[in-house]
Amino acid sequence: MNPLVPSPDTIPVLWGYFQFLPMLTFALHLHLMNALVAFTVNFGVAPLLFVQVLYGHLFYASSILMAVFWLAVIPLLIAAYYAAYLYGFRFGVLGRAGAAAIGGLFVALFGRVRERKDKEVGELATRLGSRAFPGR
Amino acid sequence: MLLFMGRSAAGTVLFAAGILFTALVLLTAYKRRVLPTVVLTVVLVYLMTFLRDFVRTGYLAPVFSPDQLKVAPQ
Repeated sequence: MNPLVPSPDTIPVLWGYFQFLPMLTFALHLHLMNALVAFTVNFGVAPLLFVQVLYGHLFYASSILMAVFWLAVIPLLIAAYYAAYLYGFRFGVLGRAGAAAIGGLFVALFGRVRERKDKEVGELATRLGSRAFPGR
Repeated sequence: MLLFMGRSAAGTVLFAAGILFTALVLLTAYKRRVLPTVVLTVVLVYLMTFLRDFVRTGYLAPVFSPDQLKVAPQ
């Protein structure tokens, strides 16, 4: 086996439980994503812990290898919380054109990121996204 | 991924069911029938979760499978 991966720990019950429970809780996580940020986070923790039981030795090795991205989850989550509140409290003020502009901004930024890999699609997305801004 | 195209019977059935349910969800959504859409979406998300599990197990198959773990009751 790869020297980076430690030998796995023992598990307290048959592995089928740890196969089934994360699937159950992960689906709940996906459902609640559409309702409430707080529940989404709570139900995201459960499958993560189950995955750590079953795939712990692989999971920890991978966390170290992609440490920067993995730890970036925390600041991203904080930003997402603020954005969710902003969206919840102030979104109505923007009106229809403002909502379209936010969608356009996302598409344009995505195109900008994409441009490096796929110039044609990237430029198309940037152009399409910018069109959603009034006065352009 | 031949896993969903014949190599695994359960995987193939799940994949086909996923496509079928996606079509049904789109159909009920376009018809503006809320309750069937919600019910079908809940089922569809479970199907997708199971499909993820197949992908994960298949991807790790050459390296690791959960039945290699030793059970030690506490």
